[in-house]
Amino acid sequence: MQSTLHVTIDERGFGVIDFHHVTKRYQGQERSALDDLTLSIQDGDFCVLMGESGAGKTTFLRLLYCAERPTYGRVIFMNQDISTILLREIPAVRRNIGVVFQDFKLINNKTALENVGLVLWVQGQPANMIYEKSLSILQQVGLDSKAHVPCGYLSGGEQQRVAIARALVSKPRLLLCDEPTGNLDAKQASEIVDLLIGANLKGATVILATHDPNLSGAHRKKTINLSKGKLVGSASVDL
Amino acid sequence: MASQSKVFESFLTRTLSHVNQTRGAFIWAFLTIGLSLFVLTFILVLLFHFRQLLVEVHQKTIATVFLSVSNETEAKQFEEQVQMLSTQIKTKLVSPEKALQKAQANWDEQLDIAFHEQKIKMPWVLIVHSESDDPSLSDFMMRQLKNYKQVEEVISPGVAIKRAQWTLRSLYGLGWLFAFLLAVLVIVVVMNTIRIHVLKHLVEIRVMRLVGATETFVRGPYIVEGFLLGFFGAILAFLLIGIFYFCCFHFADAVFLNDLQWLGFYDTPISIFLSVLIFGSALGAFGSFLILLQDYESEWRSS
Repeated sequence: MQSTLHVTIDERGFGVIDFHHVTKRYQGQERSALDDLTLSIQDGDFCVLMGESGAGKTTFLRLLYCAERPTYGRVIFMNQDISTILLREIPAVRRNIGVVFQDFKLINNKTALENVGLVLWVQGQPANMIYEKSLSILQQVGLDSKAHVPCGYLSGGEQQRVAIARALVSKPRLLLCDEPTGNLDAKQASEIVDLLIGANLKGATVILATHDPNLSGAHRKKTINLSKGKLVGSASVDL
Repeated sequence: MASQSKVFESFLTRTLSHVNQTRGAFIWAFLTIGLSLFVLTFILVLLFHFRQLLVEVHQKTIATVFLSVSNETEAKQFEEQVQMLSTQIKTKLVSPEKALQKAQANWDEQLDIAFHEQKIKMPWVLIVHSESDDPSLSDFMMRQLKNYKQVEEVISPGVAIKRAQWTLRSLYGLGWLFAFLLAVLVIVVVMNTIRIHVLKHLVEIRVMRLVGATETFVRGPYIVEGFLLGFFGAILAFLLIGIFYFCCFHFADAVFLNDLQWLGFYDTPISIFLSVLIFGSALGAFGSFLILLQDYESEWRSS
């Protein structure tokens, strides 16, 4: 518990994300992955989700991009209850969310440009628009020179930058990052976090899940501490 | 500019790209489906001809009725009564003179002399035909006809026709059973082929779903692929059918197949081939749909 920074998140009212008494229990598991979690995250927040392995960080993020449903409770995103959402409504929610994973989840035999363009392509944008926007976002993450290189040939740091470019290309309201620096060295990790801060400054709400206290300490604007699925502390600071 | 990148492919281009990546499985499936649809088409052609035969057998004479009437007026009155029994029958009244002529055509001289010596008088005869393929009509008519006082005797081909009908009906049912099994086989082959393709593109599918692709977008190319498998499989089936008939009725003219001319290819209605084309394509698309539906929930969740 970080007592000096502790504030009740609910004090700020309803946000872009609201968790209401959310419990998630997986089949065959004795302990809940998330246990009666109630919190609110405001639009434009840079939120660091802290906790040891198994604390429930990934489950928290999976609930947000509709890869899981809560066992109990409600998850509200942009005024929509996504805990009871129909499967056919999920794509519309996901188009407002960019997700960055520790293992990148890129299509290795496709180029960086194709991986980034995929997001706009599935949204039905015209080909010339896809090309321009994808190249532009790759420029922003410093990878325009490698736009036509298959992702399988890029370094870990470069792949993560492609993943961030993919997450940002459609200008999502929410950017979810699940241990995005877990496979990277300190320098690359710092570059990635800088990109995330940049995205936040441009208006995206960022939730960064990490177990690295140094990473979270340096950049946090709001911290949520989870332990064994429970909220053990939360804090807000003005950077 | 945009064409530099394959990611912006259309459904059809994506489908063709998938096919190209798994050519071996696609060709194997295409041949299997083609052969299955060939057998299916052949069975449908047989069924069509069986159906024709069945109708012909049903439409044969239901009954030959010998009447105990004394003149043409009474005979015609009786014919009208019989016609009232069912709208699905046709009757033909045969005068004693005509009945005699017909009978004499098959008589030998001794029978002819005996007939004249005994001065046997031929009766009025009513021949009843069916215009329906309903076998119960025959039984119904027999029962009804026997109740008339004008009826002296009723003769029906009965047992032989029933046996023929039973055999044809059994073959007909068996044909449909085989057709059903072949349709299932086509679906299974399509499902397995598409499963291979889906597994090959699993990462791509998961990423697409993750970034907000709709199910139509994700599944579209695979359903088109299944459709194409069925469509081209049906085309292959027609080619094989054509080759089969050509070989049977041209090269093997002298052998027993010549006796099977009634199973004609050229007089088979085009609707059968169109049905196989549409049905085959639909089966292909349905097979793809099924395999994508099978692990839809878990796939979505695991993205």
